[in-house]
Amino acid sequence: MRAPYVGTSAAMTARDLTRKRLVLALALAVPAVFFAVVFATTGDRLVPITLAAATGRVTLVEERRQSLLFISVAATSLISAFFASSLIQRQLDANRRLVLCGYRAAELIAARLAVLLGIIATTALYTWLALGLFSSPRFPGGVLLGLTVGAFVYGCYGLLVGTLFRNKLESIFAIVVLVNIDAGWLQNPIYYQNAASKWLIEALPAHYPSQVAYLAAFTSDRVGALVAYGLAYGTALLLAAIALYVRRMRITR
Amino acid sequence: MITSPLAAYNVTKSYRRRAVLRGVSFEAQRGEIVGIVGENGSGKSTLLRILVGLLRPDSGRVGVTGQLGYCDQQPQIFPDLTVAEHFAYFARAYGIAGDRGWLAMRDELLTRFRYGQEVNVRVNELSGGTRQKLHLSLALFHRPDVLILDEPFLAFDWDTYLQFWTETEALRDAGAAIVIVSHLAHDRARFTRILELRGGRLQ
Repeated sequence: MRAPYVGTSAAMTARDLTRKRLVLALALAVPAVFFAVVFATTGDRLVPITLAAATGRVTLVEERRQSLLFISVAATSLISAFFASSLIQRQLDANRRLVLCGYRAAELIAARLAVLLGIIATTALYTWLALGLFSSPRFPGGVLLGLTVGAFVYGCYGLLVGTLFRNKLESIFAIVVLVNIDAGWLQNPIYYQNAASKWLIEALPAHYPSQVAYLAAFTSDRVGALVAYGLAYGTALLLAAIALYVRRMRITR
Repeated sequence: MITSPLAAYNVTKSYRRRAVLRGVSFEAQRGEIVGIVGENGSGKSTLLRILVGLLRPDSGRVGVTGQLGYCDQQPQIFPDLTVAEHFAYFARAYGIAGDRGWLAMRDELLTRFRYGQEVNVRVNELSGGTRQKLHLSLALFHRPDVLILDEPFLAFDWDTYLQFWTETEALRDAGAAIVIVSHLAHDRARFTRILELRGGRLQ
């Protein structure tokens, strides 16, 4: 891995991406729209939730606060996954030409990962700041960590999806379906407490990040192990994406 | 043992049951411009993609010695990057970004191809011909030892077409082996030899 090669590719990838102004505007709009809808459709009544990581303990929380937190994880996951798949799929042939000219596929994907980490940090921070306007979690830093890990796991999922599928339509479908089912539905602790197959919910990508965010927002429990599990989950997806990308970009000479 | 800068031996390639290449062999020597012609669908682009390594042959061997310059039929460039950014990106890819000379090489090429004010324009704002010119320039500017071009001049205006030949012949004179694929070979006198791909074989 040659650092100057990664640096040049990361700089070009970032320029290429930031020139899509409409996409950036939409990325900023998604959390705002999600928050507005949740704010308008929830109240301040107390609802019982059960957190998997809090050994099944029932906690009473305000409906609006828990819904805003839930939707924050979904928003950061969705944005990160979309950007990641786009980073891989954009100009795949031009990138293969770069490999033909001397780049290594691993350097190109490392550059995309560097850009993705910037997107993850920005998205998580922006969503966290917006969340702070409506809600005051017990440990704000822990909530930020949860959003960041969620964006990381789903960013790595987006990289994998972008590598698996050549066309945008299949990628969008794969991302929307999983994010909706996982971060947008099954990880909601109100649903979780009465769910039949909890093991399935706990195996999904947004599980650990959601638990980190919820524990930090509503309890005093430690989140270190959950953060590590989430990062390990994302790293496994990332390694699969790298292996597939290197195979796809391979030159046979 | 492969001794030529560019060589293919007994290359075969089929798409499902349709055999496109049936044992293609040829060599390009230093200082040669070899033309490969053939009808649409005769397998010219498949052969080139195998030569550069973008496609794996079903059987046979291919050898490329030295720096490669390659220009596909479709412009493989980044729509949201400028012309100057493309040169910087590809200078890194070719491993010459650390050399002081690459900027001079780039500027000479920009002048000769008359890019003018388009140097800082994004590709998606350029005309089709200028995009094709950039696509070609990126294959030329590091002065490759082997240059492989697939229908490189279809979108060129007359002046750019003439400049294309000036650049290509200068590279040939410097010792590069050059292969140009086209479904129509104008200016036959400019080629050292012309081979026709017919029935999956070069004739």
